[in-house]
Amino acid sequence: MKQDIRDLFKQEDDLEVLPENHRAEFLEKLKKQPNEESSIPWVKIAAVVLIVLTVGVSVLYNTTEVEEVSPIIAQIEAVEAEYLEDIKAEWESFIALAEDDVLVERFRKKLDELDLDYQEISIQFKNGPNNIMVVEGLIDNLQTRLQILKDIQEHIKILNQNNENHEKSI
Amino acid sequence: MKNQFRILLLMLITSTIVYAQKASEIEMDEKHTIYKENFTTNHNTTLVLNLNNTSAQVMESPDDKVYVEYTKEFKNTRKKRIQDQLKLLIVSGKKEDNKITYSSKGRNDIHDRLYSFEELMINRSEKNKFLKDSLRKPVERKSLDSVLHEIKASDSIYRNKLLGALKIKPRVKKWKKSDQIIITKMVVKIPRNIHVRATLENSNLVFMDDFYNRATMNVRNSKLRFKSIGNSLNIFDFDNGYFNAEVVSGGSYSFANAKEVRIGRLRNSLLTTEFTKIEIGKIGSKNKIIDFNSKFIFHNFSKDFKVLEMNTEYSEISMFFNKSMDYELKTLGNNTRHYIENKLFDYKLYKKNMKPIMLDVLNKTSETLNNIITINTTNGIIRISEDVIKF
Repeated sequence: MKQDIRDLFKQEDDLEVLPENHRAEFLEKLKKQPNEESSIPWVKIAAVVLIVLTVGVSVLYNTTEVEEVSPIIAQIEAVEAEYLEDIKAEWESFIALAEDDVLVERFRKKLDELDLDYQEISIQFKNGPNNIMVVEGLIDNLQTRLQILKDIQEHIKILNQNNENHEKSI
Repeated sequence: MKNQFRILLLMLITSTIVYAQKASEIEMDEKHTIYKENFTTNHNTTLVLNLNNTSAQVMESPDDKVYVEYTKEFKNTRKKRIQDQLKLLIVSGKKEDNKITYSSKGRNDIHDRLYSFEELMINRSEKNKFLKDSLRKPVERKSLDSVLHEIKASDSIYRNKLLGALKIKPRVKKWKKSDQIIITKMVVKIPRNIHVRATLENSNLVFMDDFYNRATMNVRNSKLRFKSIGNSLNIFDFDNGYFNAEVVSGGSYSFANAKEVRIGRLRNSLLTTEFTKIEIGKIGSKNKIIDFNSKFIFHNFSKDFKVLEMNTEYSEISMFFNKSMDYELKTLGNNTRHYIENKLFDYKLYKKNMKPIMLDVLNKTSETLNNIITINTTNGIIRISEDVIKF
């Protein structure tokens, strides 16, 4: 079955000249072919619509979920950063003011406990970021830390006030 | 986006109102019973409640059985959302010997989700306000009825605070048939004489009836509201959260870092507290308080409270007294500021029974003296007044 391909080129030379009416014949054959195109556009349109709908709905649903979840997480992160910064500032202010080492140590311990609590609640938040009680727990924890630091400083300032305006001794 | 959440928040709020109304007024599309069971008990039965992320109403059982019913009802809610709501619930109950255990863990409620976002915004706005303005407002003496009213209305006060912070005017909403409503209801009915051991986390429990069962509760990041609670064997360990009770009579209660402890009447109880704000409508007989760095407000004392003993460190105690009341107030310890009718008084330390007495106020209108307040205090602030305390 071996064949010299150079022979093939020699055969093609015989087909160089086309018949004069080849174009008309071709168009005639084309017209005679069965017309299947009329249904194809609808199928195509339907397919495109289906794909668009599927992708659209899918995107919409995904987008909705992202829109519902991410603002909360972003909000929490923003709140957390803001609070932690304030807590740090209040802590530094507190240790500068307090002269009672036992008190400072007790507050350090309490803040560490609250921080541990916060880490635990954070894990719950990551598992279900949309739970009201968990979110409240996180915020309450941060607020408590800030509040107790501000309160104790106010308390110490009152204790340290000089006695110039005392009414009288009892 | 914020407006969208406001609208949805209103849905939440109105759905709560719906809940408060008769459910029969609104025809719900679907009702799902998540759990429904009853257990027989006797005097030796212990009910163990493990609740996490759960809201429930607790009632007195009409007989000697424990009843638990947990339902969710939906109106105009998509199937997928209903499925999501239902599949995230973990509920179980069993009885072994004389121990009944009911556990419930909820997650990811759609209303909660929206509510949390708004709540977060409010907390932020409150914080900003708080940081700008740290001046404390004067405290006026409240009647017992006024404190009891606040306790009963604690939920609606919270809700109004929520609306106020969002600048939403409370209004009566006209219901549309197309509104989406989800009603969650968990009811636990408990017979009087059984021991209740509860571990509550991120939960919200309202005790609809007086609760005199022996209770051992470990509570964290939760909200509890009682009518009357009391049992000399009660032991509560309450860490963070909100505690409201019209009456506490008997038992030992420990509060740490609680944002709000509000008690109408307190008697025969031991409170061990730290870093907590406590408001008491009326001090009754024989109470003892041990504290570190909490703030107390005692609005009234009963005529025969007999003894109030406090051991405190870095505590701030504000007390209101009637001039017509018989009492003796003694403070012992050191480095404590005393304000009487908003005027600072210096003190002389003098020894009596080896304890330095800083202040001794005697208000005696009759021959017998039945009421004695003794405060052992270090680094404290004590304020007493008849009607207003200024800070």
